[in-house]
Amino acid sequence: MTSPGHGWRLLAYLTAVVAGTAVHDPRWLAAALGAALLLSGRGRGALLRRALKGVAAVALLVSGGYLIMGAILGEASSEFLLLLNTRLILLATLTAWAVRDIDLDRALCRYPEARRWLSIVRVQIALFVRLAQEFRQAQRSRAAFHPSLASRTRGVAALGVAALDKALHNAEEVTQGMRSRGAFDD
Amino acid sequence: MHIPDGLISPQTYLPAVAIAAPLWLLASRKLRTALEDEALPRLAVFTALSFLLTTLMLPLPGGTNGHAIGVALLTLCFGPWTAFLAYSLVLLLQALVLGAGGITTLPVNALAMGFVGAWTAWAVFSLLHRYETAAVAAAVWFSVIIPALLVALVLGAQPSIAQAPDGTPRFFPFGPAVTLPAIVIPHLFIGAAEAVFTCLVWRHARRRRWVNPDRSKGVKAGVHP
Amino acid sequence: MIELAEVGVDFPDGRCALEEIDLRIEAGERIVLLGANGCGKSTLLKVLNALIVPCRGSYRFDGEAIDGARVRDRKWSRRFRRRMALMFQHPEAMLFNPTVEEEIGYGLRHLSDAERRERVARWAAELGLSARLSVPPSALSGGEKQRLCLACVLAVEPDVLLLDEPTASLDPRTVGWLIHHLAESNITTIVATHHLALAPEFGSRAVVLSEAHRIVFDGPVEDALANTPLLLENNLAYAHRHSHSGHEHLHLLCPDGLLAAEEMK
Ligand SMILES: Nc1ncnc2c1ncn2[C@@H]1O[C@H](COP(=O)(O)OP(=O)(O)OP(=O)(O)O)[C@@H](O)[C@H]1O
Ligand SMILES: [Mg+2]
Repeated sequence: MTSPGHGWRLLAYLTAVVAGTAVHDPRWLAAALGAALLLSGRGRGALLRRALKGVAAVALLVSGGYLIMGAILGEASSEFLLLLNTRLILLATLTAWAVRDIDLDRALCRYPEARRWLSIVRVQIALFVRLAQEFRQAQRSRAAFHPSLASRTRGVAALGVAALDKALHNAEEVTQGMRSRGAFDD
Repeated sequence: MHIPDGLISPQTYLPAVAIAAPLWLLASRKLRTALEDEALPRLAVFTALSFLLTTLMLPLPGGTNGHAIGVALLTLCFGPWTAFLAYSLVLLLQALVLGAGGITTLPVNALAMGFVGAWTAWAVFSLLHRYETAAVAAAVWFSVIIPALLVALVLGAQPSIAQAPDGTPRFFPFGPAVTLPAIVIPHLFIGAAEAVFTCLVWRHARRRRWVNPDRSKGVKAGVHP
Repeated sequence: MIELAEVGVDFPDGRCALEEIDLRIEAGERIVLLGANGCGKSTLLKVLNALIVPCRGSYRFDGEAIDGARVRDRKWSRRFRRRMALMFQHPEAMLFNPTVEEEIGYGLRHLSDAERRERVARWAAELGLSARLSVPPSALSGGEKQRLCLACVLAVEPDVLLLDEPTASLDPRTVGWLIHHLAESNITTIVATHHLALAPEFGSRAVVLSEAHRIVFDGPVEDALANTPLLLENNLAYAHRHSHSGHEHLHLLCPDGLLAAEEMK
């Protein structure tokens, strides 16, 4: 049911990330990226795509800005661009791999409180998503015309109130649910 | 601000972990003594709420600039420690479940937006509490601006903190002259928008008595044994 | 077994939820708690489950007075929680474990591993959750969540079972199973519902709460259901006057459809 493997995976991921920021040779980083892709098994294409999608905007922005600055000041280093982009892609790939292959719940198997926290978070996220969806649908069905900015602001604020209200209420209900089932008696 | 991994040097994020870790511990202690049994469910529910607020509501252009909505609101209603913890946990979920944000930037973000943001809101509100609506608006606005300033400075310091022997940068390449305007100026407007939103919510919060006179203890709703 | 005397509950915002509740329940009784929205059914069940301590009056369970100090006593609480289980109106309140299997097994921590596994398997099978033991509860549908909650409270095998609108999102098959199961066992049950048609199936004694948060009826279920003014007054039914083919009718509606149609002159 619980496997300690995921805890080790989490540790390995964190170590790899720290190592990836401590090495400053693009060749090593590229080699590490290759190794990560090789080891991640099937679906590596999807991992790489996901990583690229995640960092593309930042990488382009920073690289472009750097090139422009370099053109103005006349001291752009292609070595740096290679280093920066390899590092960004390597770390994003490692993270995508971690997200795919580390089950946070299993990684936390030794910390029952943390697992319980995570379970409640999951249940509650589903509840809040439903609240937001219903709210948006209700707004849409009630708004006959294009709503003004003011009325949209009020709508968002009302959703904020409803969400906070619900959060308070749910926190109390979950507390009672846990107490009712003896969670605070151990 | 969702800075991906690889832009911040270990010389920055390792000390940030060292500062954040004891604060997380302290915050969870505070929450436990203030709320006892209720701490875990309360924290979980608020984490879920902030997760949705920050993840779904405001994806900003460029992808670099996700923003913590509601840190100030959570602070005003439930105290800075709850807001700080909930927001840190949100960052953790985003990094490990969604793969957004980056794990090395987590401590920097948690300190800047979670800790400094929450306490800024708290301090500004306490200073001005006699003019309530203005106090809320100012608290929110500053709780957005100050962390943005901080993040801009941390990012802008990267080229001087971590550079190769020949002087080329190894991480984020631009100095504060670039990062300060690029990050702070948009946040002037974001802060204003969030201030309006928070003031509207706050009015209702007051009406429903969520706001406890001794807010550092958070609100105790319902009848408890 | 259960004695409530002049119990009153106010919420911190000043709203009153229960007023002067007097109730005696003996072991083995099967009670249906009827009342309109907001009349305090859920609150009453939470009082019985020692989650809310009454502001006024007294609550005794098996002769022991239940007050703030008693509730904070963890040893007493452990014993009490094994004897009385509450299924919440909103299933999300009781779901806080990572998997369905752990969720059902949570109330059985005092049992040995083998015993616990056996009981979890048995109740999961009864409620059709056997195939979903390893999924997180957040991944279940609304009705499945409610079935899971039912499995959680039934697995504890308590002496007293409190069910808050257990049929809200269950399919008819599960409702039938539940009714049958409760009738077979000799657990003391208190079921809150506004589903009048099912009331006689869930118990023989009805307690009706008014919108003033007081008990206005306590007696046989049949008498409560036959008492049209009582149902109308407490918004458990809705009288709907209309005419067709020249006759003026009074239709009495309850959530289960037409309960009775009275001919008017
Ligand atoms: N946590 C709370 N804080 C303030 N008021 C509350 C709280 N919980 C319930 N109430 C109020 O107490 C009253 C009784 O609520 P309760 O939930 O017990 O009703 P109910 O009979 O279960 O209704 P329903 O059929 O809708 O489930 C309502 O007026 C409600 O507004
Ligand atoms: Mg109810």
